[in-house]
Amino acid sequence: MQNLKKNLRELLKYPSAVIGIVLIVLLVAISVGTLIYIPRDEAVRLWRGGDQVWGQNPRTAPPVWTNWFRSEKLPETIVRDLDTEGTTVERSPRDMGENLVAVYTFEYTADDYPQDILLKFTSDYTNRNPFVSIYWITPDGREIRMTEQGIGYNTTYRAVQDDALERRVGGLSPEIGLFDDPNTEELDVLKGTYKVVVDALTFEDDSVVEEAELILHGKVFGWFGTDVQRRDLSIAILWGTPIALAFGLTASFGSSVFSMIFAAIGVWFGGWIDEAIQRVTEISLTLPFLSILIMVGTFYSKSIWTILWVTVLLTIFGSSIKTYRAIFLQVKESPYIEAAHAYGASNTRIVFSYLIPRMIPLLIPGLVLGVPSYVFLEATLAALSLGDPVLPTWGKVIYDAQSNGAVYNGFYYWILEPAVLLVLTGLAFAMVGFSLDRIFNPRLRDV
Amino acid sequence: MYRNRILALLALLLVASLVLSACQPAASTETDAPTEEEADTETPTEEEAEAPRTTRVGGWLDEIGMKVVGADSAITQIAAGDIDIYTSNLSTPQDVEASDDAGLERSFQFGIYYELTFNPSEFSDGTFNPFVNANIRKAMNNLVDRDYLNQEVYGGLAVPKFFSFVSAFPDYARHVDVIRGLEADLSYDPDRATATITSEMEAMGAEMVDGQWTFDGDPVNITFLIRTDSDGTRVPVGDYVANQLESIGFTVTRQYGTSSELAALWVSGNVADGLWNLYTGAWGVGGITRDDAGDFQFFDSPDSAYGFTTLWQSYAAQIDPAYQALANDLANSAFSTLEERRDMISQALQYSAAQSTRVWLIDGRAFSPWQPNVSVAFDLAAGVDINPMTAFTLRFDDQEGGVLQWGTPDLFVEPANPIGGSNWTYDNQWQLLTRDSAILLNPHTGIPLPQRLESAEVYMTEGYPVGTTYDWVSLEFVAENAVPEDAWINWNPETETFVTVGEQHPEGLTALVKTVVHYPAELYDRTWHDGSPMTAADFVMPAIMTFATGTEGSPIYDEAAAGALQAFLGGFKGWRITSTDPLTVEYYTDVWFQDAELMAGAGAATLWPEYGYGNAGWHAIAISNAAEAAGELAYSADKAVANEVEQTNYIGGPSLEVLASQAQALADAGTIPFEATMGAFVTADEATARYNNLLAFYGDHGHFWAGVGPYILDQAFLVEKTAVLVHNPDYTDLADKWAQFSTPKIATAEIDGSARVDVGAEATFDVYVTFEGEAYPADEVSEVKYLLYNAEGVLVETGEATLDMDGHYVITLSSETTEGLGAGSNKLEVAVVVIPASIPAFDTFDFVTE
Amino acid sequence: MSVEIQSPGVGAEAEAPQTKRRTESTFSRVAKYTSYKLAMLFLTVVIAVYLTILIANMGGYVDEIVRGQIREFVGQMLRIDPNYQQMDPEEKNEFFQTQVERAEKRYGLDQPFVLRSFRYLWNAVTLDFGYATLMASDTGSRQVKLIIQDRLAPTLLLIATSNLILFFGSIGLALSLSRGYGSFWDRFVLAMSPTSSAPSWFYGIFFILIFAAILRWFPFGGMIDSPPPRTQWAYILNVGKHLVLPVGAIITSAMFVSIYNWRTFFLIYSSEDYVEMAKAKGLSANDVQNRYILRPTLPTIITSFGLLVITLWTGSILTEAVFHWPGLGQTTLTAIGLYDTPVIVGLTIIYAYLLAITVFLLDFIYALVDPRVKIGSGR
Repeated sequence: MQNLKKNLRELLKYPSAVIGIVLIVLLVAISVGTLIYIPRDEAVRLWRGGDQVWGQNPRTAPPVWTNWFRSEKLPETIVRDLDTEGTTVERSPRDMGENLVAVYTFEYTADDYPQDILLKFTSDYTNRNPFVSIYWITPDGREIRMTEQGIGYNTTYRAVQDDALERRVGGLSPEIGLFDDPNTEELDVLKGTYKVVVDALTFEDDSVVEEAELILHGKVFGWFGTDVQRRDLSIAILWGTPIALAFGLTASFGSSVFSMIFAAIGVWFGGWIDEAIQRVTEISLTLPFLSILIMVGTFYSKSIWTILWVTVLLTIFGSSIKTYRAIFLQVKESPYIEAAHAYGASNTRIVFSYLIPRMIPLLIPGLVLGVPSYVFLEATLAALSLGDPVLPTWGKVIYDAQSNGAVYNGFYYWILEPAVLLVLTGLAFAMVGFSLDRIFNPRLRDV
Repeated sequence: MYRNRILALLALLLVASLVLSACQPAASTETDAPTEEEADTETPTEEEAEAPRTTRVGGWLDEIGMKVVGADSAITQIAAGDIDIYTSNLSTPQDVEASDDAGLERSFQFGIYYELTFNPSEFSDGTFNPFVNANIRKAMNNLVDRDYLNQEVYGGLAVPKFFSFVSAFPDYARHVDVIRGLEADLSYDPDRATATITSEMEAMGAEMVDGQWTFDGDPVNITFLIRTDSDGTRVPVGDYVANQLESIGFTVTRQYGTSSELAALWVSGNVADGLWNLYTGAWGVGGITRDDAGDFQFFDSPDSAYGFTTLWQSYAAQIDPAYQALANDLANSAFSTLEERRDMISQALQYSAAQSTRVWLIDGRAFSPWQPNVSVAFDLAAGVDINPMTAFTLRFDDQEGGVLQWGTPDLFVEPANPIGGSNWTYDNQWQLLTRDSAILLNPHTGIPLPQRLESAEVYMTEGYPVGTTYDWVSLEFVAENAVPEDAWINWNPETETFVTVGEQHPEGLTALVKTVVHYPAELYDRTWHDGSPMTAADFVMPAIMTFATGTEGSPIYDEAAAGALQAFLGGFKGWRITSTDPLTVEYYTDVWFQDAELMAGAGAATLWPEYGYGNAGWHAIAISNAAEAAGELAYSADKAVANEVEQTNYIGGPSLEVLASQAQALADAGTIPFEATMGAFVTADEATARYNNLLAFYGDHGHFWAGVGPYILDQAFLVEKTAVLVHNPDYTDLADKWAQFSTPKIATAEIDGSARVDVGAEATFDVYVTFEGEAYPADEVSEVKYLLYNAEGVLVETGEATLDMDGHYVITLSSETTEGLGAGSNKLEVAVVVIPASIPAFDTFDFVTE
Repeated sequence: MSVEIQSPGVGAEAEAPQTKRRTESTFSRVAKYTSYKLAMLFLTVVIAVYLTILIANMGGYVDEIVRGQIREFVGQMLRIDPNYQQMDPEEKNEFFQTQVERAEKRYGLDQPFVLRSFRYLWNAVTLDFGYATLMASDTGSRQVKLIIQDRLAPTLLLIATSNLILFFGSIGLALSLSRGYGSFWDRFVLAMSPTSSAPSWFYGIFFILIFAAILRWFPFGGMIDSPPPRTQWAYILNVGKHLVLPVGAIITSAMFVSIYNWRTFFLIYSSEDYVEMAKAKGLSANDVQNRYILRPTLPTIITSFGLLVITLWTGSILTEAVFHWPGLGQTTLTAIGLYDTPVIVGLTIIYAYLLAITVFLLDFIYALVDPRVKIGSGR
C-alpha cells in the first residue's frame, strides 16, 4: 500500500497525468451519478419507452448547441395543451354535451420550419364520438382551416400527412405551407405569434374532450439530440459511461494482466505446465470466436456481461500469450533472474516480483486502448446481431447510427458523439499512461 | 520548430474539415429541401398524345453496367451520379426523406406484410396461456394502434392491415365494402380491448393482483418471440406490442432472435411445450396475385400447406368446422359464379376475424430510387428488380441509347442454369434483361399481356365463373373438352418418344380447359444471342424437358424435379402442336383461373423455351443434358451435393470447360438430342451449326448464357461481382412497345361537401376522382362505392355514387338516412376501384348532423 | 534438434563427461523432443477442430434450427406456386413431407449428429474439404476448396498489403521513436493512440463519406469499375484505385497504437546496462540499435510476425462489408450464419495447421536467435 501512495505522489508531478486523472475522475463521477439518478430498470424503460415516454421528441434532431454554428437557427419543440398558461379555454354547454373552444398561442422565432405539427386528442364518450374543427391563424391574420373530423378515445392528427391540407396551402408540405411568408417568392419563415383554434363538439351529456395537446416538433433537441425512434440520446450517452468504463477496464486490464501471468508461469515452470498453457492457447486461437458467441447467445443469454466474460476468456488465451512468452523466455536467462534464483528466492517471488514487473510498461498501451476498443467491439458485435437487446450503451448508439445510414443522411452528431467520447476516454488513460511509463521504468526517468 | 508549425496546420485543417462537414450539408439541404418539395415526387409522364414512334428496336439502352452497392450508401451514390438506379427495396423513413431531398424519383411496391402469430394451444405442463381464448386474441386487434405503427416505424409509407388480403391486390378491391365494414370492429380502441380481456380473463379464473394478471398465484407470463433480422422493423413493432401488453397487466418476456433461432420454436418446435405465446411473423409477396381465396385455408386451417406443423395442427381445436369446409371450398375454387365466391369470401372474412389466429398489422411498402432523368415501369408487387417489364421500359428520358449504371445489393449468388439454377432476386435481374417470354404480366393489375403471342382461344367447361378483360383472348363455354388421341400426355424415357393420349387413356380423356395459342408468323425471324435462328424445335424441347428430369429411368433423372413434375401432372391433360408455321399449340388442363388471360398465358408458357430459370435454345439444353447424363454436372443443387459433382453453371466456374468439351463432341458428331422425337424437327447439320454458334458465343463472351431478349450478357465478372449487358441489335420489337406502363394510373379520390348537415334533410357530397390532377376517364373506373358510418361507428348504409361527368361523382343521402343518423359526428367513406391499376383509392369525410 | 547447449558456469545437471555419448544422446533427445512436440501439436489440432464442429453445431441443436428453416422455406415457397393450389389437403401434406425429407437428406439430418461430427473431423484432418451444404463459391462451384480459393487473392491483396505496411512501418517508426524518448513526436504518437481504438469499418464509413461522396476522389466500394477496363495494366490500376480507401482505413485504425506498443517494447531493451556500455564505448546510434537492441528483440518480432502472417488470409468481416470487398471475412460470416459446417471446418482446419507449423518453427527460431534460451527443460 505504501509504495502505491509513493507512486501516486510521483504521478502528480507530471502535468499530462493531472489532466488525465481529472478526466477519469469526471467520467467516474458521471457514471456514479447516472447509476444513482437513473437506475437500471428506469434506463431500460426510458430506452424502450414508447409514445408516452418520447412521443414529444422530434425524430433525428441534432443537439441544441449546434445552433451556435448555424446562421439559420433551427426551431426547438413547442408544446401547448389546455392548461398551459396563455391558452384560452371556454366550455359552453349544448342541449346534448358541450362545445369546447381552445385557442393556443405561441411565438415562432426560428429561421426554419418545424419537423411536423401534431394535435393529440383524448376524449370520453359512451357511443357518439366528438367532432373537432381546427383552424390555423398566422401572425398576419390569415385563417387556414386545417381539418374537420371525428375523434375517438385517443386520436392523433398529423398535419404533415393531411393531403387535403397540402392542397389548401398550395401544394407545399403543410408544415412549410402554414409557416411560409406569402409575400416573398422563395420559402422563408414568417416570424411572429401564431394561434391555433380548436372547436370541439360532443353529443352526449357526460361526453367531454379531456385533452387536446398541440406539439410542433422542432429540429434540434436537448444536449445530445435524438435518434430515429425519437429516443433522447442523453440516456444512452449517460448510461453508456458506466458500462464503457466497467466493460473496458475489466476486459482490457483483466485479459492483458492474466495473459502476462500465464505466460510468465508457463515460461518459468516450463515442462508440462508450459506445454498445457501453449496448447490451450492454440486451441482458443483456432476456435471461431463468432460461433462461440452465437452459441452462448442462443443457449445462455445475450446480455452484455455474458458476452464480456466470454470475450475476456478468449482474449486471455489469445496471441498476446505467445508474444509475452517469447519475451519471458529471454528475460528468464538474464543475469538478475539467475542471481535471484541463486540466492534461493521462491518461484512465486521470482515470477511476480522479478519477471513480471519488467514488462508492466507493456500493459499500459492495453490500458490506454482498453475502454474505447472494447466499446467498439460491442458495436461490432451489435452489427453482427449479437448485441445486448436491452441496455442503452455507446456501442448500441454507434451501431444504430451506422445501420441507419447516419453518415449518409447527414446525422453526423449521432455517430460522432459516442465516437468523440470514446476517443476522449482513451486520451484520459493515455495521458495517465505516459507518466506511468516513467514510474514503472526507473531507467527511463533520467533519460 | 519547423516541423511543429506544419503539424499544427495539419491538425487545424483536419478539425476544420470535420466541423465543416458536420454542419455544411445540414445547412445546404435545408435551403434546397423546400424548393424540391413541390416537385411532384411521382414520375412525371411525358405527353402521351401521338408522340412520333421510335425506330429503335430492342432495349432503349446501349449498355447496362451492374455492380454491388450497399443499401445505406445507395441514395448518396445516385445523388453523386455514381449509379443511375438502385433496384432493391428501401423502406425506412430516412431513405424516403433522403431520396426526396436529393430530388430522385422512385417506385413503390408491396414487399412484405407483417402480423402477430398466436400460440393458441393448451400447454402440456398446465401453465396458463391467455391466447387459448379466441375473444382475447380478437381483442388484441383493438389493443394495437396500426396508424401509430405506420407513422412511427414505417414513416407513413406503409398501409395498416386487418386481413390477409394485400390492400393493393384485386381481391381486396373486389370486397372493399365488406372488409371496411369489418375493419371498424377491429380498429384501435384500448378501453374496449381492456374491458373484453378483463372479463374473459376473469371468466378463465385469472385475477388481477395490484395491476398484474395472476393465475393460481403466479403471474401470467407471455413469451414474445421478436425477430431482430430482416429489415429491422420488427424490433420496434415488437417492443410497442410488448409495452401495450404490459400496460394492461401482463408480464412479457421478450425473446429476441434471428429467423433461424426462432424458426426452431414456432415452426418445428412443439407448441404444447409452452416455449412461446406470440411471434412477430411476416410473409413475402412474389407478384400481384389475382386470387387470394386460398389464404383462409393457408393461414387459419389445419389443412394448410403448413398442416403438419404442431402450430397449424393446434388450429384444429379452434376452427369452426363450417369455416374449415368453407376454406377448403374456396382454396379448390368450388363455386360456380363470382357472386357465390363473393358471399363465401365475405363469410370467411367474418370467421377469420372471429378465430383471429393472427393479428394482421401492416402491408409493408418499399421503393427503389433512380435518377430524375431515368424512367422505368415498376410492378406494384415485384418492384423493379424482378419485373420482366423493366427490360423493355428502362431508359433515359427523351434519349435513345446511353450507358446506365445499375446498383444491386448482391450479384451471382449461386450457379445459374435454366433448369435448376439460382432463384435469387439478384440473379433474376440480369436473367430477365436477357429474356423474352410468351406473355408479360401487366405490372399494375397482374393480368397477362401478349408479348410473343398473336392471339389465344380458351374453351372453358360450363359452370365455372371465368371472365376476360383484354380482347387478345376469346372465351367460349363448352359442354366438355375431349382431348384428341394424338395429343402428348407423357414421355417414355427409353424410346425417347411422347406417349399419346390414345395410348395412355384408351377410354378417352376430357379436360376442364382447352387453350389454343397462335404465335405470329414472324416468330422465327427471332434469333438467339449466339445467332442461331429460332425454330419449332425450340418449342418441342421444353415439352420433353418437363418430363425428362422428373421421370424415373431418364438419363438426366433428378429426384428434386420429380416432386415438381408430380404437382404439374395433377392438372395436366396434354399438348398438341397443330401447325409449326405459323406455330399453333393446343393445351389441355384441369388447372383453371377466373381470368381467361391467365389460362392462355399458362398454356403458352408451358411450351415457350423458358425452363423455369431462363431462356435457352434446344442446343444449349442438349449440351448440359449430355454433361448431366455423363454424370459430370448436375442441374439442381440437391443432386450436385448428393452425387458430389459440380452444379451446372452456364456463366462461370469449373462447369465451363465441361460444357465446352461436351459442345465440341456434339458438334463433331452432329448429334440430335432425343432423336426419336426431335429428329422430325431438326437436321444433323442444323444441329452442328447451332453447337458451333454457341461455342463461338462462348469464345466471345466467356459464358453460355445465350438468351433471346433485348439485352445480351456481354461479360460476367463473378469474383468482382460486376456484369455488363449490351443492346441486342437483332431484336424485332420496337423499343416503345410497352411505354404506356411507365406510370401506374392510380386514382386519387377526394370527397367534398358541407361539414354541417341538418337531421332529416337530404345531403349531397361531391367525389372527385383524378389522376395527377386531371379527371379520371369514367370508362376506366369500374366502381365508386360509398360507406356511411353513424355517430356510433356502425356501418349504416353502402351504395354506389352516381356519375356526373368524367372525374366527378355525386353521393346523395336521402332524408330518411339523415333522419336515422340523429345528432352526432358521422363518417362517409368512398372506395374507388379502377381498371388500369389494382390499387383502390379511398377518402373519408366527417360531418356533423344536428 | 534439441538446443540444450550448456551455458558455461551454471551446470544444473551433473552430466557424465563422455562427449561422444552426449552428441549421440543429443541427437536422440532432439528426435525424441521433435516427435513428441509434433504429436502434441497434431493432438491439439484435432481437439481444436472437433471443438469447432461441436460449437458450430451447438452440440447438435443446430439440427433443430435447420429443420425449422427448411419447413419455413418450403412453406413460403409453395405458397406462391400456382401448380400447387389445385391439390387437396392429403396430397398437399404428402407433397410437403417429401420436399422436407429430401431437403433434410441433403443436410445429412437423416444421420445422427455424432456420426456426422466424426465424418466432418476425418475430412478436416485429411484436408478433404468436400462440398458445402448451402453455400456456393463466387464462380459457382459448391466445393469448399473453391469457395476459399476464389476469394483468397482479393483477401490477400487487401489484408496482406495493409497489415504488412502496418507491421514493418510501425516497427521502423517505433525504433526511431525509442531513441528520442519524451520528444515531441513521442508524445504526439501517444496522444494520438486512442484514435486506434476505433475499428477499421468505422474509419471506412467516414473515408467513404469524405473521399467518395464529398471529394469524389475514390470509388464508393467494390473491387473494380463496371464495365471493367479491358487491358491488363488498366485493370491493375483500377483495382489499385479501389484499394486505396480500404487499405487506408485499416492502417489508420491501428497505426498509432502499433507504433506505441513497439516503441514501449524497444524502450525496455534500450535501457539495459549493456546498451549503456555500448554507447559509452562510442558506437554509432545505428550500430547500437542493430547489434544491441534489434538482436535481443528479434524473437518477439518474429513471433508477432508469424502470428500475423497466418491470419492475413482470414480477412476482416465488417471492413469487407463496408467496402463490398469480396473477401473471406464475409465468407466466414455467411457460413456461420447459415450453419454451413463444411465451410466453417474448412476455414478452421487451414488456420489450425498453419498455427501448429508456426508454433513448431518458433521454438527452434527462439533458440537460434538467442543462444541463452533453453527450450523444453524449464528451470
